[in-house]
Amino acid sequence: MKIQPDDPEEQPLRTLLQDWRVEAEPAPRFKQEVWRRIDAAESAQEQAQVTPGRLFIGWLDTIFASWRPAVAYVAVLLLLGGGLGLMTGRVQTDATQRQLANLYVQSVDPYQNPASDRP
Amino acid sequence: MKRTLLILLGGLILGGATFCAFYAAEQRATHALNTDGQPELAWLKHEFRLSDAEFERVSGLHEAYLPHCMEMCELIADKRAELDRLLGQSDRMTVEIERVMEESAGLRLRCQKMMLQHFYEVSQAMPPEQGKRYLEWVTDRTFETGFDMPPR
Repeated sequence: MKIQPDDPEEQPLRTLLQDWRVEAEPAPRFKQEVWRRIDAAESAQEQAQVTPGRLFIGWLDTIFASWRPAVAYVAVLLLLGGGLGLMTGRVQTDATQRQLANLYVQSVDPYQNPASDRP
Repeated sequence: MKRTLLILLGGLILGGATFCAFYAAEQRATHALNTDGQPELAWLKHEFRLSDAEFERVSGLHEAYLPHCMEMCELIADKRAELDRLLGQSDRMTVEIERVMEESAGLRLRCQKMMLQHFYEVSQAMPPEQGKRYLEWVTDRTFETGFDMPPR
């Protein structure tokens, strides 16, 4: 129903509407309750998106909250990296040394020299 | 989460860098041998811990020996080819085959004498301990077949 501004019959209604004041008090802790419900709704949304990866990262977050586990983790990787590098290098070095030793023997023994084995 | 990922990634990068550093350090000496003009002699110097003067003497002996070795290789190749041809032509022992086999055996003896002479000379150009070790090693690698047929 649209109020017609110039309609004299609606003047009482107009007056009543202008004089109406809301005096109700909001519920106690109204604002806190609203934010609590917003947080709960957001958490529920996040829970629905939890994946094993996120769980794992979350667990790691807990572990690495302190500096000691982080230092231990880096130290272990340094030791592993160095140890593996040394071992792999050693294996490669031994193989190369054997090849060079064979090369020397072939250079001094005609029977092991490829030049004596013509097709 | 960012902090955790940073720690994870940083640890992996540091571990990888350490791997590369230790691998490169281990390979450094061998790489130097491989890139030498005569890697087998560079290996000999490294293996038997020769000084520059000792290495120069050993290199000189090696260079002087090489032409004799190549000559022997040619003779061995010719004798092998001759024996292969005769064996391919016959299904029984012949006088020719016997002759060539005897000549092969004689050739092998000549070769072994020549090699041993060279090995003695080289071992004497080295420090006594290393010379002894060299002699044991090289005779083991070259005379291990004894009087068997030459390896193909």
